[in-house]
Amino acid sequence: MAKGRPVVRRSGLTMPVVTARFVDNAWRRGCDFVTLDLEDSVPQHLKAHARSLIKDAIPKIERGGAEPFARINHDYVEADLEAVIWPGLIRVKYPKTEHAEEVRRLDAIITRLERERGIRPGTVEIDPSIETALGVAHVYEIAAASRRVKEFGATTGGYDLSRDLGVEMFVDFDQFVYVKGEAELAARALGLGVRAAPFVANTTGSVSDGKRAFAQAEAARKCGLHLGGGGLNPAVVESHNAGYTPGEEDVRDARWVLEQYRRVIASGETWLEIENRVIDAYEAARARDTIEFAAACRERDRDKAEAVARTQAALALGA
Amino acid sequence: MAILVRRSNLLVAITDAAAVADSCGHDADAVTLDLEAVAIADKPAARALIKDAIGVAGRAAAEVFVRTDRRFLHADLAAAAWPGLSGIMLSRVECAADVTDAAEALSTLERSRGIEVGSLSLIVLLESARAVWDMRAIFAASSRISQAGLDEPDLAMSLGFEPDEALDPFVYARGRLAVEATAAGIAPVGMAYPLSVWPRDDGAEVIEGAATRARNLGMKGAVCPHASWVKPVNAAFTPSPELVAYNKRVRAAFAAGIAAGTAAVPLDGRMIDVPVDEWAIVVLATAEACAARDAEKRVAGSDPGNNLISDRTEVISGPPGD
Amino acid sequence: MNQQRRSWLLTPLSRPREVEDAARCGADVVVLDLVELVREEEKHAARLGVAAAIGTAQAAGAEAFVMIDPLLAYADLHACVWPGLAGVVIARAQTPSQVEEIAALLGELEGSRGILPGSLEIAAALETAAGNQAAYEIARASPRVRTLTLGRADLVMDLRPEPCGEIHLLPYLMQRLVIVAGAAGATPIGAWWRSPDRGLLATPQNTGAAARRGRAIGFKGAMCLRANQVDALNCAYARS
Repeated sequence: MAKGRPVVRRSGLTMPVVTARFVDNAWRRGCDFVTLDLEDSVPQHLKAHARSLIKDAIPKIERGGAEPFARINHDYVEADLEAVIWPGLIRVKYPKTEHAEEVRRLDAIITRLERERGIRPGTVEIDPSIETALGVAHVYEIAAASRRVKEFGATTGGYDLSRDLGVEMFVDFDQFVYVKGEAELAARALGLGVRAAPFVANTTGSVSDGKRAFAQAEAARKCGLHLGGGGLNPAVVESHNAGYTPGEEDVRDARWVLEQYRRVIASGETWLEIENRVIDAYEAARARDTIEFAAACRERDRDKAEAVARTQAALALGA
Repeated sequence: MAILVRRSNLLVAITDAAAVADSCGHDADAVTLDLEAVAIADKPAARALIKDAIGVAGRAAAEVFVRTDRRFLHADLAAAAWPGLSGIMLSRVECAADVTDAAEALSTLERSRGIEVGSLSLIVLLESARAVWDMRAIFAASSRISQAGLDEPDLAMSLGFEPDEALDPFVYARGRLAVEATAAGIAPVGMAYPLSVWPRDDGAEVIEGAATRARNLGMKGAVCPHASWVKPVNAAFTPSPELVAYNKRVRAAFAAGIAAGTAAVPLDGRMIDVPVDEWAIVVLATAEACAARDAEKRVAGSDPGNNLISDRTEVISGPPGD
Repeated sequence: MNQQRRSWLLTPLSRPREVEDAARCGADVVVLDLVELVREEEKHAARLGVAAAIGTAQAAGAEAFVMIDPLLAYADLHACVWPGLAGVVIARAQTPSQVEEIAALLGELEGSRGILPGSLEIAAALETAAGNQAAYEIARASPRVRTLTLGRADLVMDLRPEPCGEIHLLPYLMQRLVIVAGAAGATPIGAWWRSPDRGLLATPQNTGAAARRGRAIGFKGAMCLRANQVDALNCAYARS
């Protein structure tokens, strides 16, 4: 993985690009990213219209400091990519990926469009979604298919995957251990950003339950995971931001671990047991990660706040 | 959309005459006559029973399968492949060659016995780590494979350990089965832990609960070692009236959304979009297919020419479960 | 393999006294570590002590393995292949070609040092995601590979406790390893530790519980880091 400032993608919303009030208000939501959808939330008869809206929607998303993503249709790759690859777009989400070849094809088309439209080569990421059993069977090849794949994983509760496996969702046990395990293993083996979610029961299926969203994000953070999968309702955005952001206590604890690790090094040992905890190189690395991520979150939040302030000022001027 | 309704598959020992005679009276979607569990010395006599037993087991419109012994595969296949048979349950499948071997033998038998070539289907059971690891190749070996499952007691034995009831040791293996079988267009079958390892007769409520859990892990049916499993297994793998009603609402809400220009529709706090609507279609079609299969079994079971015991006929022709 | 290998106790080669203690505590296997528990600047001296340490382990009735670093395989193997050695543990085994290279070196050293050809075993410690991804190929890379373990994966792979107390992803990797080992004809070893034990801190009682959980999902023995954990492993992994 490229070193440098860690990516901060805690919260996001997926919205049908055809619903103007969602897109127009997206900047007020506090998201780290917004996915403009051309796929499942857009009725078939509105697909062409939806494509025509993406180019103008991208700057609307940027108004709130969020990264603009777009989800295209599995079956209309050419037309959809022509419509979404514009300056400002960060990532293309490709649904129902089943073969590495599909990702390579996407890569080739995006490479051409970046060249034609003056976008720096390699800017646009590909996010291949694993939503079928066949996709799960090929996770490693898919994740390895393009350097544009920067993050990878499977989170719980995929509607498509549940449909393909023929399971009812929202039961009280983890139905996707294998799926998540295969995807996370592939992501880690390839050194990609890991998008994973520890099991937190969701028996209602509510898309606006902020409390549950927070619990899920917090559980993920405690497992050392930083990347959120986003949601469908504005009510979960702040929960995701808060759940993924290391708290002051986490940062204090991380500083303490680093302090103790200095003692380990000075002692000539490779590890020490201090206050019932193992302090070693790995713990120190985790602590550093927490501190860096907390700083990156702060910076990201400041960027977003400034973007929102600029937008508000512009609106006031316009009014 | 072709939906295979083979929820319950009742396993009966071919040498147990009473069990074979009784096998058609439990409402099983399939009955499997077991040659594998027969002692070696008794195998020849057991094989001779198969041809007639197929007719008996299938009286109430159950599909009839024969479970073969890996060590005597060809003799068992020759004893089993008669008109009326739906297919073979291949146990201890280790590799793709085991499947192709059986499939080729079946082709020959189909030709010589006036059975439509390619019509006999296979249910493969995996019992070793080797098979679990290689299941993709196994599933790709023949288009005859309709279902696949793990034989978990034997899998534990072949791995040399005794599981603990509190710790499911086959989360990985079962998850792999669900994914790889589905990817190959094959129906995964099995029970949830711990009944998958200790197939006990725990009462209808427990069986239905375990089978429901299995369904929610992706299984499409279960092999039933006891006749008492059949009804709760059928129930678990049949969409409930509540589920049918809910999915009708999903379809209606989604259609209204589309008419209003959006494919993302809130319903009871959930979000209904294309895959949710597609799943609703599957649930409703499954309910219909189950009802049709149940009607078919009821009609066959109540045919007086079928010699079924009348009180049992009444039981199985009770009110339709919808 | 006739001998029982219920407990594999890791001990740093840089501490001869600890090697002695390890040999005496009843461990079936003493794993003489040249990798994780030995600081970089101590490695040269540690390598010089291997032959004596093998003797110490053997004298106490334990089998001796040496844990080697695949990136330093040449030096580590030259230092550790002596009569009496049972095999090597490859720390952070990542690729089949590493295993092939180490197997070939073991063959050469067997020849030049009077050891029965083919007798030295390999235990592959799959401590990284890449190693787990390639687990089957690694296990099949040489007939010498008889044992697979996740080693210290819980430490290396940044797997933290899940809300339910399991170590994130670890139960999945353990079950996968048991299947891979079974498919490849190797023996899986490991214990199902629960947070916050992570092996290092586990009391004898918690070690016993971790081992019983490990046994119940198919492991045949386990590595441990402390002498007081050995009895619990021997007990939990005893053949019935």
